[in-house]
Amino acid sequence: MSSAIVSALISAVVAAALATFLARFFWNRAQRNQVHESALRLGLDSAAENEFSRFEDLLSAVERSVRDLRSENHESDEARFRLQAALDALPVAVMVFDGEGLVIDSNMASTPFLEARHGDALVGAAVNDLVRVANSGQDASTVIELFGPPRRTVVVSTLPLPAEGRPGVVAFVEDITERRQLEAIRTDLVANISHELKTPVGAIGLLAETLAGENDQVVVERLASRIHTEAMRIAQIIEDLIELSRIESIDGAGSGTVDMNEVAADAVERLRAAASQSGVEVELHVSTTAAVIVGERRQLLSAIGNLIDNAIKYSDSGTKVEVTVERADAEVLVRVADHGIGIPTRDIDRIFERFYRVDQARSRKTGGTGLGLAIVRHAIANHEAHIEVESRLGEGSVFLLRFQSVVDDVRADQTISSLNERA
Amino acid sequence: MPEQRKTFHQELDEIRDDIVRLGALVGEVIPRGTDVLLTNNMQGAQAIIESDDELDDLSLRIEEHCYHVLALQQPMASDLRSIVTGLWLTGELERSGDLMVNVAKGARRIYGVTLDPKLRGLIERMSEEASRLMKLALDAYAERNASLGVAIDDIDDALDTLHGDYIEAIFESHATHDIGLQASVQLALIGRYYERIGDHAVNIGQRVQYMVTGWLPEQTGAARLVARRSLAAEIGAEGPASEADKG
Amino acid sequence: MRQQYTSELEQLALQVELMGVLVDENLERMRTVLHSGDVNVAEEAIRTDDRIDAMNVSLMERSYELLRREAPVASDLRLIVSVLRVTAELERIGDLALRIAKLAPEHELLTRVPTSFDILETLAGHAVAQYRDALRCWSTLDLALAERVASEPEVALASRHLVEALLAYEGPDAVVVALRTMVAGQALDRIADHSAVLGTRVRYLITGDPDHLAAEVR
Repeated sequence: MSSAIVSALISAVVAAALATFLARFFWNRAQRNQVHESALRLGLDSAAENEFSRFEDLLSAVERSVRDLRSENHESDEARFRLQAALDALPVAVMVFDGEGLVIDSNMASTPFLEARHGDALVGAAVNDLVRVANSGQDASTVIELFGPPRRTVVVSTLPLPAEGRPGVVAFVEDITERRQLEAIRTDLVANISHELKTPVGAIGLLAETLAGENDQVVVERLASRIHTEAMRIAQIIEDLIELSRIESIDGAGSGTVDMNEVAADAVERLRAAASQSGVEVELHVSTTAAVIVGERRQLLSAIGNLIDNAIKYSDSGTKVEVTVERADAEVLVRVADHGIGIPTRDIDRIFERFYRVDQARSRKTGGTGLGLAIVRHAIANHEAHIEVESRLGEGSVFLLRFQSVVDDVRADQTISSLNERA
Repeated sequence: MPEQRKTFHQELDEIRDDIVRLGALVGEVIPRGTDVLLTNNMQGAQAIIESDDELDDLSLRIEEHCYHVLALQQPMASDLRSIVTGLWLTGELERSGDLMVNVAKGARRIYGVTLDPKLRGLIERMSEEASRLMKLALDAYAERNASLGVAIDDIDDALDTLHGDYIEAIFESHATHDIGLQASVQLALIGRYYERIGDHAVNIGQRVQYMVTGWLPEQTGAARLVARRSLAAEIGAEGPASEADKG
Repeated sequence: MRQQYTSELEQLALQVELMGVLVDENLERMRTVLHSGDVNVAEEAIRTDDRIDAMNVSLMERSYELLRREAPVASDLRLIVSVLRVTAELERIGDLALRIAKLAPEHELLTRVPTSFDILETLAGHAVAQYRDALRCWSTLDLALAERVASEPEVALASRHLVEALLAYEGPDAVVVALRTMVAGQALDRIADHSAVLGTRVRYLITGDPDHLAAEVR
């Protein structure tokens, strides 16, 4: 836009210079004044103090001004470029509209909403509607819930821009999905902890009260055993909370090496009793070669133990839970698969939150604390590993952990296997 | 509408943008309706039934716009096809929206019934499949991608298979008395609504194919020959275009 | 020149009616197949459907040709666009009739549950009647009839009974019986549904009222 102004100015200046060239032969006082005035009109600073006695003076003044104009323009180009780069770095979509509602400027984050499709097209339409409102001088803002997938919450807002004679509007689109989720988790946490602890404590209180007035030995025994169960439950929650905060407070996973084959076998062994009690068979397939990673054994045992524990709890009697350790390229994969009730797609992102449960009633029955997967998530994050979940309601879930394997060990194995081949 | 006269291509672009928006509304109402169904959300069901008015208004506006352009402009053959395709598409989209209203109404009728995980899983998958097909159909339209348009028919098979599994699951749940007769009936009807959305997506795909190539799936044998001739004439009249030389 | 155009429009409307009659014949064949499972009649229906498709294509081409050549306005424009939309519905109804005719080899499955078979036949009768009313709207341009066809309620009640009957059946092939019967039931529902849409198209053709543009059918 500004380069058009420059070229218009240059041609005006050149035209003036040409006219002056013709006038050179008829140089007189009156004409000299005229040139002086047009130089003033062109905004040549020197015209005020200098009188252009010679044509050459005027020409060099014109030259100077054009040069100044060009470098100024260059500077403003640079400033513009910087501004654009800054806008592009923003995670918020910024779009500037003219009075007709057409986009004149936009940053990178707004690309999805221009000529958009699907959910983004609805955001784009909302932007256009709000731009119309802002063009009549009103601020406007709206929150859009998109079901996607993925589910998103987006805020669209528009502001009229102050500009003399030239109306314009700036529009912002911000994705607040994550912020909303975090807020929800934070408020839920306090409520959840108090709820989780209050329920068994309340139960113990009532049971104890009943116990005090009870003479029948059978009833007394039953009540006492219920009190014991509830107390164990509180103990388990507290233990999990401590384990969670311990893992949360650790940054990283140390520099020791751990063989995941052993960790998985250990975890399966510890849960063997719980599994047979609920009629679930746990199958372990370890990798034929060592599956060594850098990490802390206690955290890893806790993570895999929790995954297997969950798999058992959410499986029906008579079904199988499979635990597999595998080596793939430079990775160690640990897979825990069940054929249980599964996780609704919309909840998969939430299962790692503290106290989240797919089935509240079932969890109460099986004595889950709702903290297991939160522990898993932190332990995995400490190991810079990845966790993937695949689940279908009614068909079961697969949790896949991907660890970086110890590279030296890979080489060692390769040597061993090549030796074996030769043998 | 602003006073100044819009150019023909602006009008066409507006129609296209509005159809994309209508498609986006339909694409949103599919997962929304399913969520309402699976979470027993009565207010949500009401909101879906009410929001259908917006969908109906928009499709009416698009149809009027199409007629308006047909009457005031003198479009060339390929543009004519785009406009008439627009008229057809609004019908398909509007009725897909109506089907999700039916799902929401069904959700109200089975309020309080607990669905077992398998049924829920199948409903979720049918919904995902239906909305995926709808999105692909809209992509085909927006990109003028004829081959994608035709492919939707094959992709739709997955939804048909799911629907079969779903009916089977209803039978199982009914046989084990997990769900009563009325709920089973409602669920069976709900399954058909998803299947029909898939059919609408297939229709859209075929319309897109026609819009781009001037070729209809039912044009076989001699009819195809005629179409090829007329396409050749059109190319002669309008300058270079790509020849769809299908055997 | 003008006169030729007018007669072309009349021809166009008449051809649509002829296409409608072909569809009507196939609906009748569909009913025969549904009743008796006659494979020969089903094959005849398949052949006729090719003719229906060919007519659809030729009507479409003629409509486009007229739109391009004559740049029609007002009621002429409405007629030509209506032809495009009505033939699409007719073609769809033809396809649905064929979907049922193609069930001929498995006809025995449809008769397995007597109650649901009765309901299918009732649904078929209703769908065909609804279609005939719709076709009559087109040839007579009877607004009152078009209004009635357009506002015909969905036959949800009958299909509810259909599912009820199927769920009560406890044979080993219950699922496959239910699936085939529901395919047939749904196709019949949709023939009625598309007929109602035909009614809305004719209504708009007659009134030209923008409120009648959308095919709001529940």
